[in-house]
Amino acid sequence: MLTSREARLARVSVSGGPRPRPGLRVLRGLWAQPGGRWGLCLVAVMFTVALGVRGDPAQMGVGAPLGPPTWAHLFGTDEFGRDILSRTAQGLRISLGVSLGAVTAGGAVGIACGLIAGYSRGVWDAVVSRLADVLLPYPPILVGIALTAVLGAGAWSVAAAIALVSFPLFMRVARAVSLVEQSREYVEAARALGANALRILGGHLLPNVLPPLLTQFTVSIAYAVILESGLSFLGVGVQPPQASLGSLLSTARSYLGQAPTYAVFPGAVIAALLLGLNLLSDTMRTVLDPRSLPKGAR
Amino acid sequence: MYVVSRALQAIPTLAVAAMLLFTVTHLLPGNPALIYAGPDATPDVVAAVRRSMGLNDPLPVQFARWVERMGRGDFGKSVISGYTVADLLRQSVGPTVELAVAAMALSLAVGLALGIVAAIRRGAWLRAATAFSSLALTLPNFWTAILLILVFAVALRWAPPSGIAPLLPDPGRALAFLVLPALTLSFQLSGVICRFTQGTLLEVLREDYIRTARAKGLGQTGTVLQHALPNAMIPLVTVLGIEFGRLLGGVVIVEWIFAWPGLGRLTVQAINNRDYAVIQAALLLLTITVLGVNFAVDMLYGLIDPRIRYS
Repeated sequence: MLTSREARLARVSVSGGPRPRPGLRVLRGLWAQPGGRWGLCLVAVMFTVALGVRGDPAQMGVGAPLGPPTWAHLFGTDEFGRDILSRTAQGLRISLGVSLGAVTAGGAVGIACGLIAGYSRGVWDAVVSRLADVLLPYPPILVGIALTAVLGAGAWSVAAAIALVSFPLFMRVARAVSLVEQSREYVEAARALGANALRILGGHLLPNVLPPLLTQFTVSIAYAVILESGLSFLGVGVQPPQASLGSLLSTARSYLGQAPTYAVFPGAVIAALLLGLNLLSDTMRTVLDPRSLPKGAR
Repeated sequence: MYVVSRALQAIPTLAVAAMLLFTVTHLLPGNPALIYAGPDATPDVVAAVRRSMGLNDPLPVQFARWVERMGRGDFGKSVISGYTVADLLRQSVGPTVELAVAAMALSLAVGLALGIVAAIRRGAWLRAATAFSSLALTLPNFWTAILLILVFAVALRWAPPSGIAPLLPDPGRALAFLVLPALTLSFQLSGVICRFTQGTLLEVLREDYIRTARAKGLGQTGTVLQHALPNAMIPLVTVLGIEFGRLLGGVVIVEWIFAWPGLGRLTVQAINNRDYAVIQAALLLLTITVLGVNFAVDMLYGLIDPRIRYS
């Protein structure tokens, strides 16, 4: 098999030996630092709430309208007597599902376009780069508003907006890495061994792009959660009767006087999720870039 | 020379943006002719309205007509309110600029002060500033807004929860309405500025010329303000330029929450009403602003830093 030979050649030219499993290494590195530990814990708690909370988010009258927090309804009940904790959990599920799916999709397209742009340059590079130039400075929330207006309000339109906003970020990084790496010896070696462009892009350049993009992925998930809840807050995102973290807050805004906890609890959940993601991405940046760590921590 | 080539570079970007905008707004679902003609109109009337609005022509024709009209400053009429779009824009630009300028000033004041103090004093100040900027960068602005309303409008009743007051007869009242939206909008940016200022200052303070300044007898504060700060501030211009886009995005949400009658609120309302002409013009105006600011920042960068030479 050519691939394994190329891979071996490539690895020899880069580091000269086998490495531990990269996923495990990153996880261990994250856990070794307080920021990363907090981030992992917060995100894990949020996933547990999203997937673990039982109870029908649409069942009306399980409690009094705008009821205060009780043991049965920890977050209280909303204007229709629905359990706010169940609705928050549903909002988290939708938020995380839409964000993870859309960032993955937009990121994958961005990586593919960026790798090809950096490798082939020329017209394709010019077109893709120009497109990214237009998209990048544009406020994501406006991209989202325009898209949801075209495609109709709903989770799918929000996902499309998130994918579109993530695309240029991943494209840029992939393009930069591809531009630098393609002139390295191991790519030359692969080319000399007869590997075609597809194999070089997928087998050699792609693995180099993934570590720096892991941080980008975490950052993008946080952006995506903000964009999703922001659009839903404006009323152009996830539509009722489905709950979203943004639409929950938007409704709660009308009852700030009567039931302040209605806004405070779902808002605190968004804040905790975003804080966890930000802590994770900040720590990830230092873990994946060994130069920024002190010698003993490597 | 650089100015000219940089301006020429901006043209294709603007053209691509205009085409995207035009396409996007014309793909909008909902029939503006139907909305314009009213719910009781017969199909004949709707068809006539459609023809008179030029909605039957091929898209490239409509695009050419659109660009030509935009160039003349004729943005058409709002199909909902009947006002010309130019009038609507003129009314909304003022409040948005007021809000954006207030937020920019507030975040520069808070961010710079906190960042400078953190870099000079280190210790607890540095930890406090770091916590502040992490929080500012984490909380989404609609959540900040709700917390501020909850505390300062609902509980303490220090400021009105939403709305706007004209500046002239009673500036104090106008300020009371401005305070919460401006605080909300400035929070994130002040976090960015604080983190950036403290980061660059700490870096610059390690440079040789700082040691020289200290060695000649200048105090720590004097060194920072006279020698370190000017050099640390040059890249801040770029950061502000990039962050301006985010500020404009924040304007949309903040204006919506606080019922602030600016461009952002106009845009969201227009989308809900499928008001083509208003959406196009508002989005175009926001796009030109974003691109214009990016352009201005590039220019400014060359002016304030004599070390940068353009080829």
